[in-house]
Amino acid sequence: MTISLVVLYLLIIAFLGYLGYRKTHGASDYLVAGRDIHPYIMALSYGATFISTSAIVGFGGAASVFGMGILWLTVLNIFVGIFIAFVFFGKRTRIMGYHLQAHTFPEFLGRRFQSPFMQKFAGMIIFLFMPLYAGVVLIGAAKFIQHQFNIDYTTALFFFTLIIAVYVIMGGLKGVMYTDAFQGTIMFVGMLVLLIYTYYTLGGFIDAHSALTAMPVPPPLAAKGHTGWTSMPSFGSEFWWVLVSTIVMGVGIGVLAQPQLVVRFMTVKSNRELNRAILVGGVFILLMTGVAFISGSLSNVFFSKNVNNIEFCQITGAIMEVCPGKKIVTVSAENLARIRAQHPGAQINDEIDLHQGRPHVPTRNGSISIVAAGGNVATVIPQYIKQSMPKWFGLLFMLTLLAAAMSTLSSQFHAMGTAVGRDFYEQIVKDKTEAEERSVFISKIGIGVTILVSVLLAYILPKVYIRGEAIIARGTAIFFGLCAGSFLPAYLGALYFKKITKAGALAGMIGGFSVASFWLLFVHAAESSVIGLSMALFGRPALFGKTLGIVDPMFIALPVSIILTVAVSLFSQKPDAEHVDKCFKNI
Amino acid sequence: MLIFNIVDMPPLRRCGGLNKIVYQEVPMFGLGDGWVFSAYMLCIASSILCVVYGILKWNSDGDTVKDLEQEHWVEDEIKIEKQL
Repeated sequence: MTISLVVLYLLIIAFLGYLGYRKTHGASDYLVAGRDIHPYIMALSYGATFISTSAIVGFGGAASVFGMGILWLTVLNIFVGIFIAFVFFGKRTRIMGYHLQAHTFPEFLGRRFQSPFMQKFAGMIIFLFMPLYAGVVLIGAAKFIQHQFNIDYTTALFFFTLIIAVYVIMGGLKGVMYTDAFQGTIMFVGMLVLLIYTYYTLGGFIDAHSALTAMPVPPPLAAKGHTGWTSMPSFGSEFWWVLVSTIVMGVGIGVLAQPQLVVRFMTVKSNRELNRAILVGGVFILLMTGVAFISGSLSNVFFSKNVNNIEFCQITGAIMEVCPGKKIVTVSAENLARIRAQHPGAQINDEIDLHQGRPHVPTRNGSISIVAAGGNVATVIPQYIKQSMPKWFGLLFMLTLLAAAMSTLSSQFHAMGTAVGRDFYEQIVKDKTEAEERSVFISKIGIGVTILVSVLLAYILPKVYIRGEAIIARGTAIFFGLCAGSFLPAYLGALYFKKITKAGALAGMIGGFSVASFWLLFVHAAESSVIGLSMALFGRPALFGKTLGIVDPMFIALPVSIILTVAVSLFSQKPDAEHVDKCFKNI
Repeated sequence: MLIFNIVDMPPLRRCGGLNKIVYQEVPMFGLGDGWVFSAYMLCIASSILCVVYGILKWNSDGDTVKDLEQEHWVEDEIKIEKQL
C-alpha cells in the first residue's frame, strides 16, 4: 500500500516534469509559458524550495525544546523571506539579472561588480558549504522514514537518496515548476491537517496552549534559561542566544541571500507575477513553519498527557520500543538508531544495559517530547506523528516530507552543480569555447560529488551529534548564517547602492566569510568542539569562553561584512558609470 | 487580549458542597508571555499583509522589461537547462 502510494506519487511527478518540459521548447514558448504561469505555481514553487524537511522535522523538533518563542522565526520567514524578499529584492534581481545576462547567483554578483573572482569565490562557498544544508535536509527525511517504517536509519537514508538521485537525474530541476507546485500542494494539505488534528486532539486552541503553559520546566532545561514552552527563554541565557541569534536571526535573515532562492526571481516573466506570488507565499509559509513550530511545541502536551497510554521507561526516559521492559536488551536493527542515541557505537546483537544497573520502572505518566523521543531532537516530529495521528496521516505526511525534501534538494543540487561548472570552471579556463563545452560535464560531476558528500554528512552527523543538539536546525542555520555574512551586504549593495565598488563588495564578502568561518572553527562551541581544530591548536574546545561561545557566527560576520563593504567602497575606485547605468536600467 | 474560560470548581465541603462556577482569566490565548503572543499574532499579521499586498498589486508591474536582453537571457537559460 505504502510503496504503491510512493510509486504513484513519483509517476505523477515524472508526468508533470514531462509536461513542463514539452511546453518549454523554444525561447518564445518559454516566454509564453512564463507569461501564462499562474502565480499560484510560482509561489508554491518558491515556497516548496524554501521549506524543506529541515524546517518541518528539524525546526519542528527544535520547537519541542525551545517552545513557541521559535514562532519569531515564522514571523521573519513570512515578513523577510516572502514580503521583503519578493518586494525589495526579487523585483530588482529579476530586471538586473536580465541586463547582466546572469543565470546563477554568483554570476549575478560577479557581473554586477565586474569581478570574475567574485563569481568564483561565491561559487566555491556554495559548492563547499551547501552540502551541509543538503545533508541535514536528507537527515530530516530519512529520520521520518526510519520511524514510520521501523527500519534502521542507514537503510532509510539509502532508499531516500536513491529516490532523490533518480529524480535529479531524471531532470526534475528548476524550470519545471509544475512538479514543485504539485509538491507544494501536497505540503499545503499535509500541514493543514496536522494543525487541525493537533489542536483537536489536545482539546482546542486555548486549552492546548494553557496546558502547554502550565507544564513545569525540568531543572536541566531551566538551568539553561528555559522558562516554559509558551514564553521566551531568560534574556541572555544560553537558550536565549541559541534561539534568538542562531535559529531566529540566522535563518530568518539568511534567507535573503540563499543562492537557490535568488535564481527563482529571475525565472518569472514580470514583476506582476512576483506581486501575485506574495499572496500565496505568505499563506504557504505560515502553514509550513507556523504549523511545524506550533505542533512541535504542543507535542509536549501530547506526550505529557500520554493520550494514547504509551508505556514509557522512567529510567531511560524513552518510549517502550527502545526499552522493552528489560534491563539488558539485545540491539536489533529496528532499534539500533534509537539505542545509539544513548549508547554510541552500539552494534546489532550487542547486549546493552539500558539502565546501567538501575531497575526498570515502567510508567504511563508521560514525559516531555525530547525525553519521549529518546533525547533526539530530530525524532520528536516523526514520533509525534506516529503516536498521535492515524496511520493514513502518517502516509500523507511522508509524502509531504518527500515533496519538501525533493523540491529543496533538486534546486540545491542544481545550484551546487552550476556553482562548480559555470561559476568556477568556466571562469578559470581561458579558451571560452572549450570551457563552455566542458562545463556541462563538470557541472554534472559537481552534482554527483555534492550528492555523495551530502549523503556522507547525513550518515555521519547523527553519529557525531547523538543527543539533543538539534543538528538539522543547526546545520541549516550555519549555512544560512554563512550566506548572510558572505553575500548579503554585496547583494543588497548590488541592488540598491550605485556607489558600492568592486573592492568594497569583495572586501565585505571575503571578510564576512572569514569571520564566519573563524567563529565556527574556533569560537562557537557547538561546532568548534566537534570540529576539534581549536582543541588541536590551542588546547581548548572554544576560544573566548562560554558567553561568546553561544553567539551565532552571523551575529558577528554580518556587521563586519557591512562595515567592510561600506568602508572600502568609500576609498576605492568608483565603478564604471556606464556599467552601473546599464544594471539599473528600468529600475 | 483577554479571553474568559468557564472553570467548573470542585465542591467546597465547608460551604455546604455547592458547585461554584467562576470565570478564570486566560490572557493571550493561553500563551505564557507577551513576546510569544506577539510572535503568534505577527505570524498571522504578516500573512495578512502578504495577502492584502497581493490583492492590491494583482495587476500592477506587468511586463516592465521586454527587450532583446530578456530574449537572450531566456535562450541562454533554456540552453543551460537542456545541457544539465
